[in-house]
Amino acid sequence: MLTIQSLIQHVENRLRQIDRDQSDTTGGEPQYPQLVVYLGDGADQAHPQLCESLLSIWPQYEKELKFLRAEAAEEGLSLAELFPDGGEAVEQTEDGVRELASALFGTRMHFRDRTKLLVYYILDTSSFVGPEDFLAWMPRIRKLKDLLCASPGDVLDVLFLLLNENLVRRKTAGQIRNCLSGFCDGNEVRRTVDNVMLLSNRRSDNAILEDWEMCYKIISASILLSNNADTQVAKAFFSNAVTAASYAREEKALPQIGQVVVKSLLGELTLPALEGNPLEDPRLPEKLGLTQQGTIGMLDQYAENSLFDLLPTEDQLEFFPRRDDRACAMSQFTAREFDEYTMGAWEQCLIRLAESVGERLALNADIRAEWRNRFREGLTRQFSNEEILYLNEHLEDVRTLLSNPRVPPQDAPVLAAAREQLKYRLSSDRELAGIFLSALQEQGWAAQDFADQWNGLLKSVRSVHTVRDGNITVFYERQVRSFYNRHGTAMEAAFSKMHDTEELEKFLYKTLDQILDSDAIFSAPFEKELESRLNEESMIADAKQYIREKLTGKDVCVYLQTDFDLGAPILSAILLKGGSPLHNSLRMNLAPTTYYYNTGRGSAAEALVIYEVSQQNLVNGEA
Amino acid sequence: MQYQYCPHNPARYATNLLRERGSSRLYWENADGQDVLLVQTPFGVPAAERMEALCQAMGKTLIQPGRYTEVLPGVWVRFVSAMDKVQMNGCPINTEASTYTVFSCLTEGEVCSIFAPQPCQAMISADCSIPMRIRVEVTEQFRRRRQGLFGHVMEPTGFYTLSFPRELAGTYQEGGLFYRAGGLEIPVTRQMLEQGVVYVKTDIRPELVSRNKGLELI
Amino acid sequence: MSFEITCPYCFRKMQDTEVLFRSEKVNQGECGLLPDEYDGIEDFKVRYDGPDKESILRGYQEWEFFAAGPDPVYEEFWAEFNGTTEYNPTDEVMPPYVKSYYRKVIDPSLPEHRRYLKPQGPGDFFIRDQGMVSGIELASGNVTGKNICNRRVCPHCHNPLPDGYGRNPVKFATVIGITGAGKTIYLSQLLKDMTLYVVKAGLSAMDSGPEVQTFLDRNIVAAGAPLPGSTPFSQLQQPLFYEMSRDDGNQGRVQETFVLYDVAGEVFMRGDAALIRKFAPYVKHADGLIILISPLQLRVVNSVMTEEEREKAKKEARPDTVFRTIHNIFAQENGNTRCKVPLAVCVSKADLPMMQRVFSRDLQDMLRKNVEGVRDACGFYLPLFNATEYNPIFNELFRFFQNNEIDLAQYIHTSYASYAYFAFTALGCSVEERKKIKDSEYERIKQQCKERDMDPPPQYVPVDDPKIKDVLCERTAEGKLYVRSFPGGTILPKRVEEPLLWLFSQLGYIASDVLIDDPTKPKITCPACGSFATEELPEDQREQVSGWWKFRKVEYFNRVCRECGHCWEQN
Repeated sequence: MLTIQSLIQHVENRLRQIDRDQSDTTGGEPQYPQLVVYLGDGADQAHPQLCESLLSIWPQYEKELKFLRAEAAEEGLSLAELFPDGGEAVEQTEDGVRELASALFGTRMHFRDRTKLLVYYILDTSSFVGPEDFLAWMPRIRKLKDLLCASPGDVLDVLFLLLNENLVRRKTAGQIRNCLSGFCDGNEVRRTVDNVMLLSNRRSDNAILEDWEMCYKIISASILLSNNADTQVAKAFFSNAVTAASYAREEKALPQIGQVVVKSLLGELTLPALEGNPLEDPRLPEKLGLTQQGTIGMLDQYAENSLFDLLPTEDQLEFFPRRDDRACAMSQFTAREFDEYTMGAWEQCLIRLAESVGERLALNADIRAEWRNRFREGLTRQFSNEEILYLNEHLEDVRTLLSNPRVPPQDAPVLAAAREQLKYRLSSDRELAGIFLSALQEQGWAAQDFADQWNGLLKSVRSVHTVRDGNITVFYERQVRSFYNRHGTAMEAAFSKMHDTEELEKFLYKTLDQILDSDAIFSAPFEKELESRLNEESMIADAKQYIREKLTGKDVCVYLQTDFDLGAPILSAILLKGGSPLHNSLRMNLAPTTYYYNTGRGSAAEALVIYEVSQQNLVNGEA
Repeated sequence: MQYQYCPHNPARYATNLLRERGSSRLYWENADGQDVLLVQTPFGVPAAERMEALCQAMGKTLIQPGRYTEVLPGVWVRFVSAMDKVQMNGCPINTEASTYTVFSCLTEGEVCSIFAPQPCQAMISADCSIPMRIRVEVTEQFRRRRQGLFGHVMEPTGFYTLSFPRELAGTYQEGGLFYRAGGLEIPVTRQMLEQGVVYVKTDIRPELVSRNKGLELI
Repeated sequence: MSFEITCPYCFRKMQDTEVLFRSEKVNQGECGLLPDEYDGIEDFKVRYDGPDKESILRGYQEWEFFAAGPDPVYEEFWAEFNGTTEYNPTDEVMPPYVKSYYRKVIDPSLPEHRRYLKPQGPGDFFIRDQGMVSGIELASGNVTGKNICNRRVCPHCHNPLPDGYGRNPVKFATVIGITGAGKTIYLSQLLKDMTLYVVKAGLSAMDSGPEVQTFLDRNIVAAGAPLPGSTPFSQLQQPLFYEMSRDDGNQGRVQETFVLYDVAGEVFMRGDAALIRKFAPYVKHADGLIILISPLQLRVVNSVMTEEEREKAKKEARPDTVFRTIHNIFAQENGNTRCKVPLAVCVSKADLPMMQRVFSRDLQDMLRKNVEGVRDACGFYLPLFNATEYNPIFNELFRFFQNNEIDLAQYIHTSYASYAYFAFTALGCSVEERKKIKDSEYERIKQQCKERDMDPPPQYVPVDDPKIKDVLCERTAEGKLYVRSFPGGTILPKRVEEPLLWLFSQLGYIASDVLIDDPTKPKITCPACGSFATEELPEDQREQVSGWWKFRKVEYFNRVCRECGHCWEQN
């Protein structure tokens, strides 16, 4: 079903594709073999987003990045391997997991350093009812670690703890935070993992997040940064501490752009209205494929090709019954005379012949399908959608027109008249006329479907929220109008000939693709696109400053609320396309300690700052 | 009068329709005191399947009491009251080469309800097909030719005559009979039956064929 | 004048004066004559010295004599057949509410019994009706004051003899139904309208005794009622008694007793000699036999069944064994000769759809009609079997058996001297399987319907009724759905009486309008008119003299045509 959402999604996907096509692979690559393990209920919901984020930067590692799901089972753990392509999870035995870990160190892998295995655990506390649920995972993690590597020293791991601190789960969350407060003192958690990154849905600005989408982005950025040849950066993630993170992201407003483009395009297209009554059109019989005698052209053709041979020959006419035993040349009679002399046998003979042809045709599905299709093609060629709808609504009038051929004259010589008679009988056959009527009906339904789809599409435009950023609306509406000015005539012509939904869908997708290909703005890096828009409106001149503010300004939040100040960050990092004007601008303006990770992608920039969470920021009043 | 076709009602049945051997009389069994509708259809065509259409057609036709009335092409009906059944010892058939079906019926005011027959065993059923056995004489025509002074010989004229029983014409359905001659299968028409004797120019004896199971050629 | 009676149960013969009687006076429970302080009669005899001791003792003896209880002779007879099937509905509604066969059997020939009887004349204790002993009179009556005991029983087996039984000649006929042939339904339909059927042969029939009504009550065949199931084959069903009367053609009436036995074919199919021995008397003493065969037992029918019909049809045994066993029973008496007892071989359920595939159209048309009697000019039925109507049916069936069941036909032909084929339908409609809604569920459904002002469904619903789920329905002990068969439409029996009427003609009750075709005799047609109605001329009519003096001519004929009167000599 064609909806405005599907069209917007198409534009959005297409823009992403353009961006991907333009990105290079000069960005960072994973240094060590790595494994992401989703622990318990809900954690694996991060999988699709995590895969997409990681593979958009490391596309060449699609087969080498491994993901596991571990669930508590009666006897230890139930393990399954998950795949980046969304394929069905495959249950794994303990040996299977060992094999999987061993394979990561294989020579077919492209990791530069095989001295360590980086393991990222993700654990969601939403389903926990007490701290014991959290602590119960520690022995399981240790067991998993045992499976993965003979020596614990070969593994560097970090636990991303998705701490659900909404009002219902606050007490449990507090108790878990208490558990973590003993991390520095070497408690069980400390003995299990090298680092815990605490990602709460309760942000430093007091907002409570409905989902973990932003935290998944933090995890993805953390994985990119931690699996790094730069040991200083990697160290920040395996620092034997409980850490928290602030995060900001700026990217091209793809959904909004898509929405404006689609709405503008639909606004430009209009269906042609019905002109006059198609039934009063003197060309209607001809357009429907009728001959001057009112017979159906296709049936006449069939009669000529296949039926005339079935008529009696001149010699055979002699065998017809007679009223007397006069010797007369039967073939010299006119049709009327012959029928009269044969006491109606001639008429009956033609009726039987037409009937037997009808029966034969009833069994020949191929020829009926061929006629139906040819008739439908003729309809779409000769009539507009509105005209077809009108004819379908007046089916009985069309039936009358289709099955009322003119009675052929009976004064012609008997066999010549018989040929016309046969055509007449074929076209008078209501069953056969039914084939064409049903084709018209089918086309009518398609036309109705098309009209409904189109109207539904126009209606659904209203259900889409207006893009708040007026600048985007004005800017891209202008883009679409400019495209329409250039190609509108051809588009309208193609659009008016459209008869079914499938065609409409193809047409719209194609037109949208053409619009996106028509201007460089659609493939420009995000800061350039922003710049163009801002320039257009003579707004803020420096887009880079605008972005910097968005990434590192005061509005950037930490994904953990603490009672006390978190202190100086242990890592400030920006993830963006290296060497871009934005990169240079940020280097000029940000602290020299800031680390820049080259993503190779110009469509977005992210800022991630890691803080160590002190014991006092973990302990709270919950017992 | 409005006619409606109702589902089978065990209290209103009419079944076991049969033709008295050697007579032209139909006999059936029905629940005591109930009237019936006899429907005559072309041979082998069950009436029960067409009753909806038949009821509609009957509503538009003046049904003649005490005789068969044609309400649809080839479909005749006749109402027989319980009293008529006793007095006539059943009911005479209309014509042969037909299928007859008996339905129990009930008239209340301006509405006549016709009840579907019970799901029957094969033997005892509400319908009965009566074939018609007909003889068509096919005769080669000869003419007398003089030979010698006083003698003569008979020689074929090149014609055959087909002689039809005239009583068939009244109820004949077109397409029931054909004759084969000269590689053709030529239909026998009602006009030909009315004519009685028709001529066919052929040297080979035409062969009669029945396409109607109710018409048995003898 | 005395009457010789054959017991319809044990077939032993007796004089009417030898019959015994079931007492009308019956004592039940404790005897109230003994004072409470005595433990029993012996105690009373020893300890009691009162003046009325003798009268109390006499009273006690009389009480004991009339005490209700099992009768050893009767019990011994029925022990052979897994217990009695005797049932008299009046036992339950009339005092003293005791089963007939628990009444004291009084033997008037015994002096100790005679003390309780009132003599009807010097040394004669019998009451007679039209010369035949019909009852005795008790010296002291029962609580209702009834003194006459007219429940006669056989002196040998103590089974009841119906009122008047023995006064008229008796004929026995046995109906044997091969498993699945529908004997019970056939008998139920036959008995229900027996009086109407026999009237077609100018007879009138009246059931004597409660057996017929009991059979009909227990085996109801009606629209909406479940069809009767099969009866246990090892039980002897009660004989069914009819008093048949007819015009003797001379302003008088002839009365005869006709007894029908209902015997299951399984008895003769199992090869169980003991079982056959028990039931053999009902075959050996029969004056006529009616054997029912289900179409499904015929090979040709099986060959034309559809897969669906084959799945539904139960596997049924071939009928050959029954015919052989029955012939063997006769052979034990009469040596290895052809059995002379008339045998009606009947195909039941002739209306089944598969029969349409094997029976000719003409036969089907004939079987669809009711049996018509032969009437006189005034419209009254004559005591004649309508052979004109039957002969074509017989000939079709004879050909059918010859063509399709030649082994069976051959065996019957060589073993039975007088037989005929019949076909009938006892229902004339299809049979529908229905499941039964559990009583508890049915009550609930009825209640719901009542609340919604709807008519409740019947308790039995078609097995494929989607509205009633199987979980709501009763199941058998094996866990299968409990299913009963019901008539699927209007019940229209056809020709059920024909075998019986034929039997009447063979037993001499009636004649036939024309000669009944006899398969055991070759068919000789009249050389003049072609009729089959020809017969042998009696010896004294074979020489026919015509002309006189020199023209006198003596011709010899041995055969005559009853149609045209032509005579000829048949070699």
